[in-house]
Amino acid sequence: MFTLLSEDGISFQAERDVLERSVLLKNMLEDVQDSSNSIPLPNVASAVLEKVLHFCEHHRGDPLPVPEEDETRMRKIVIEDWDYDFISANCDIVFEIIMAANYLDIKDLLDLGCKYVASLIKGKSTEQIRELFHIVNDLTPEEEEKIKKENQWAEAV
Amino acid sequence: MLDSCRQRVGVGARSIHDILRSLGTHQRPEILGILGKIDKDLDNLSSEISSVKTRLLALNSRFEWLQKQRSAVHTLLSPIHRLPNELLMQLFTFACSKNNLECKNVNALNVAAVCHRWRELALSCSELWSRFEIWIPGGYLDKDDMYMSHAENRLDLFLSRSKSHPLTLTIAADESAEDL
Repeated sequence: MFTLLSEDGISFQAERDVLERSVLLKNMLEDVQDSSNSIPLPNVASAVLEKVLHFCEHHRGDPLPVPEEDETRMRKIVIEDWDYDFISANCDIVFEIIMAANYLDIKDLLDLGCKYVASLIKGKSTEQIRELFHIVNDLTPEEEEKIKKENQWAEAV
Repeated sequence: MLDSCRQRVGVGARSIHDILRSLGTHQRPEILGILGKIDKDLDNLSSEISSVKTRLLALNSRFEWLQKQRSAVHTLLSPIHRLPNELLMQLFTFACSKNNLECKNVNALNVAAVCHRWRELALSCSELWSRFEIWIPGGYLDKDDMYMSHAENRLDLFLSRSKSHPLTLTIAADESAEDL
């Protein structure tokens, strides 16, 4: 068992095969023989690390995504049932999970977070997207004019 | 502020009160003099009120402007703003994996119209514009001529923005459009 120390000083214990879902931790563990020292993760808060470890535990033993399959992975938007339940139950911290997955280099979790947020964007109008993510329209009148021309069809139909 | 206004009044409330309650008669010039003083004070007060009103309008306008700026800045606390560009782009790539050019809401177009940052990122990512579906209608109705013109415009836009990225495109056509 190895101990991880979150940004806010909380310790989590996990087995090697769970931690090795993260490329960053896998590389770190190769250099660590003594499991008595905890591994500090200064960029991941305990609330997020707990969820990340939950995900890694569920997927322990699954084949890791192969870099060559990136293009195929991008096209595959379907989210497995367990993964969907996991990410939608944690939708309030989905962006923190995405950033932690990026930092820890956990490709399948990063994809899951991005796909989930992408699914919220798909099919929505620009205004709906702004409302969803609390984004202010800071476009210049020139940019607005260009966009209006691009979306001419939407307005005509 | 009210105190300072009262001090400017040339004729005191007390003296007016005394004159009104006086049992004796007053000379016309004396009354006209008092009226003149009152009129002058009224003029002064009127211009003071109008300058305060102008100042109040300016303050209210500044207040509303600052409130709007505060709301705008507050939205930057929204978690999506913390995502670095490369993650936002990855998210866009998933969101725009399909673009039906005949739909009202075309994912890539909508993403590129949200805000300046999203627009710059979306326009810089050729992959976003490389996956789309087009439909070729049959017949030669006027409606379809207009449709084709809009479809061509969108197709041109996607082709130019996809640059040299390999295209993944789906073409659907009516049976009557088989000549095409």
